Amino acid sequence: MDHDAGGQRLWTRETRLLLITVGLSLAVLLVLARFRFPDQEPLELPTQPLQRLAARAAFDDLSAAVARAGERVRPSLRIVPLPGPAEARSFSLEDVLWNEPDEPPAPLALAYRFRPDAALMLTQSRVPPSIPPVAGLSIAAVDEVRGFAVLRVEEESGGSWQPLSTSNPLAPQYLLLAEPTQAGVAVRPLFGGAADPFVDPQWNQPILALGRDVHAPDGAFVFSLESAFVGAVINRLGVQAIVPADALVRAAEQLLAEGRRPTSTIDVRVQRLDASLTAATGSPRGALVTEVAPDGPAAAALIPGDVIVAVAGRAVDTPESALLEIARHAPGSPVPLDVRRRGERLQVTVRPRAVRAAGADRTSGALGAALRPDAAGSRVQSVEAGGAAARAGLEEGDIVTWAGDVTAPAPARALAAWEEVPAGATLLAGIRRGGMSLVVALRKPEPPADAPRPADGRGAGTVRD
Amino acid sequence: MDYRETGGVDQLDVNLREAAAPPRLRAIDFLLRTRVALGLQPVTAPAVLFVPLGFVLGPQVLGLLPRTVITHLDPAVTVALAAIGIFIGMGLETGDRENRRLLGAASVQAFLTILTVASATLWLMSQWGLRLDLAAGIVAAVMGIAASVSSASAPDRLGETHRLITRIAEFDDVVSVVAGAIAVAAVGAAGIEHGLLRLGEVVAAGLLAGLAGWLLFERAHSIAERGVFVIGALALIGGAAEYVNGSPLLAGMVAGICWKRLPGRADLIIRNDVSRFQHPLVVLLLVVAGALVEVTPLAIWLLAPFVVFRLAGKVIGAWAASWVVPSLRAGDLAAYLLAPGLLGIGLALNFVQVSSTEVAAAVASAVALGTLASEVLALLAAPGRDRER
Repeated sequence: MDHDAGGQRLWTRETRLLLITVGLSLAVLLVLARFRFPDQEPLELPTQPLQRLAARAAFDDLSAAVARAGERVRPSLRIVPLPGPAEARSFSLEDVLWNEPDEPPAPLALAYRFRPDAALMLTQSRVPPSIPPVAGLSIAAVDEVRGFAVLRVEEESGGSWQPLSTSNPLAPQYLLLAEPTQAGVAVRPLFGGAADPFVDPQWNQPILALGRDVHAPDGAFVFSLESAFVGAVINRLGVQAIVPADALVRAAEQLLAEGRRPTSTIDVRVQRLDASLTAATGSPRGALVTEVAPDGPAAAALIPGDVIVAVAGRAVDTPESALLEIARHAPGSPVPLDVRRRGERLQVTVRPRAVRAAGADRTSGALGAALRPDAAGSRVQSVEAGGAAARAGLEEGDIVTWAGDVTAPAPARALAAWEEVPAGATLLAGIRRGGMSLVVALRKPEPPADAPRPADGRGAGTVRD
Repeated sequence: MDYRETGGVDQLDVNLREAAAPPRLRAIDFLLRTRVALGLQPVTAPAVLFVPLGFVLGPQVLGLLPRTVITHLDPAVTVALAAIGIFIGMGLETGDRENRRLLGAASVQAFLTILTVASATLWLMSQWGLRLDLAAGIVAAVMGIAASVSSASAPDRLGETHRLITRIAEFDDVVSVVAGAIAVAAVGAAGIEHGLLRLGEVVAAGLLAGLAGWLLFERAHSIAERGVFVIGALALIGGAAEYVNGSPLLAGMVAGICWKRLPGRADLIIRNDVSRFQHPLVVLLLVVAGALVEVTPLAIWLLAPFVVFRLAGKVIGAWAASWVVPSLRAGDLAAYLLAPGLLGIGLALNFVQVSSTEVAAAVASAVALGTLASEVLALLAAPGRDRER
C-alpha cells in the first residue's frame, strides 16, 4: 500500500508535465543543434543621419574601452630597463632644468606575464645577458634569432595573468597597444585594419602585417579591448607586424623547456638580388653570396657569386631569410643548401658554427679592459666584448678616477682593486667621460663549478704603458 | 501591495487598477483575463510597452535616440538599476520560517532555471560554431541569469496560493542579482582574485552607502534636504558600482538590506522618496533597452534557447520548488513564474555596460526580445482561477 501511495505521488500530473517538458526541450535542443551559424556578414556603415552625427560617441566609447582594458592589462606587464648608453649619464640641476637631452632615453622593453612564474619579452635587438633586478625578473632563456627572451618572475605576487585571445585578430578592429615609457606602461588604441598574414623567416610562421603607416614600437604588446592577449609588435623589413599570442606563448614554453637556444652562422655575407643580378645568375630569388670567410664553415662549400635558394629544403626569398634559416640550426649539424652557381643548381652541405653571443663569456672573472696611465688615474684604451667592463658600460676613452677606496688609481692599482673583489661582489668605480663624471658598477660573476682556476690569478685585465 | 519593481503605487497605478478593460479590447479579452489571473493588470507589464517604444525610437528605426544619447543616459540607467536593487534588498524578509522556506524554494527554482538555460545555450553555441569575442561560459551564464527572473504582483483579492507564489517570484530576484553580479565581475577580470575583489568592492560600496544613508536620512532638517540625501545615496551606489565595473543591482540590494535591517525608518524614507522618480527611471531603463535592441543574426539565434529553455527551466524549477513548499502545485507555480520581469532586462543592460562588445549587445537584444516573447507565453499559459487551492 505504501509503495503504491508513493508511486502515485511520484507519478502525478505535475511529474508528467515535467517529463513532457523535459522531453520536448531535449527534442528542441537536438533540432537546434543541427544548425550551423552562418558566417558573419561584412560590416555595414550606418545609414541614419543621426547615427553619423553620433560619431563622437564612438570615440567616447573607444576611449572608455581603452581605459578599462588598460587597467585590466597593466598588472600583467612590467617595464624592463635594458642596459644602454643612456644609463651612463650624470646630471646637474642645470641639465635637468634647461639643457636639452643630448642622448636618447634609456632603452626599455616590456615583459608580459603569460603565466604566474614566467614572462616573455621581445627586444628586436640583442637580448642582454642580464637585466636590472628592479623589475623583479631574471632571464630564464633567450632565443637570439628572434630577439626573444623568457623571464622568470621572481616576485611572489603583484601581478596576474591574462587569458589568451579568442578573437580573430585578422578582422578589422580596434586593439589596445601597450608600450613602455619612462613614466610607465602607456596604452593607446591601435587599429588593426589590414592584418594580412605573411610568413616571417624569423618566426617561421605567419605573422600579421599592420601596414606601413602604423606606428607601434617593437616589442609592444597588443591586447583586445576585452583585455585578451593578441600578440606582440615586431618590425619586419620596415613593416609593423603582430606575432600572434599563441605563437608567442608556444615559443616561450618551448624555450623554457629547451633553455638558451644557440645561434648558428656559416660566416658569409650575402646580398639581395636585383633585376640585373637575377638575369645574370638566373635566379629570381635567394641570397647572393658576396664574401665567404676563408676559415669559416662555408669555406669549402660556397664561393662568392653563389645564390643560396633553399636552406634544408626550405626556399629562401631574401638574404635575411637565408641567414635566419641557417641561424636556427644547431651548431655543428649538417645543413644542406640548394645553391645556384653559374646557372647550375647544386646542393652543398655546411656545418654552421655557434655565434658567440655578447656576454657568452660572462662567467669569466676578467675585467676585460686595457688600461694605460693617465694624470687623473687610468685611461681605458680598449674594452673586450663580454667582459665585466663592457657589461658595466665602460667605453674606450673613459678615465677611471677612482676604484673602490683608491683615488686616481694607476692601471696596476686599479686591476689590483678588481682582483681583491670576491666572486659575485661588485666594485664601484668612478669614471670621467667627456667632461661628465659617472659611477659604474663592475660585477665579478660567480665562476662556473667546472671552470679551471687561473694559477696566478692574473689575466683579469691588461696594463699598457 | 508591493510593486517591488516600480517602487510602490503611484497615481498611475491607482487609476489603472481601478479602470476596467475598455470595451474595444473585448476581442482579446481572453488574453487579458489570463493576465488578470496572474494578478497583473493588462498594461502593468511595462516591458511590453516601453521596450518596443525604445526600439522604434532607437537607431535601428527612427534614429531619434542615437547612440550618443544612449551613451549619455548610461549613468541614469545605472541609478535605475541601483534603485531596483534597493527595492529587492528591502523586500528580502527572512524573519519567519515561512519566508525562509519560500526563499529556499525561490532559490531552487531560480538556480535550476539558470542551470537549464545556461547549459542548453552553452551546448548550442558550441554546436553552432559561434565565434565569440567573449567567454562562452559568461555569455551562457548571463542568458540563464536573465531568464531566471520572474515577476508577479500581489493583488489582495487573490488567495493564499497567489500570495505564496508572489513571494517566491520576489525572492528569486535575490539569486539572480547575486549570480548576475558574479557574471558581471567575471567579465574581463584578470583571474579569480581580481573578480572576487571587484565583487567585494561592489558589496563594500553598497554597505557604505547603506550606512551613510542610515546615518543621514533621519537627520535631515527638511524634506528637501532628505531628498538630496536620498538622491545622493542612489547616485553613490550607482556611481561606485559603475566605477568598479560591478553590478549596481547588487550594491543597491546590499544597501536595501542595510536599511531594512538597521533600526530606524531609513527603509520607509527611501521607499517613499525613491518611488517619486522610480517610474521615470524604470521607463528610461526599458526605453534604453529597446533602443539598444539590434536584430542581428546572433541575437535571433540566442533568442530561441532563451525562450524555449526558460520555459523548460521554469517547469523544472517549479517542480523542484513544489517539494520545498508542498502546498503549491508545480504546474501552477510554473505558469505564474513564466511572466518575466524587467530585472532580466536590467541584468542584460548591466552586462552591456561592462562589456561593450557585439556579443554583449546581442545578448541584451536577445534578452529584451525574449522577455517580450515570454510575456506572450505567460498570457497563454496562465492557470485558471479554479486551480487555486
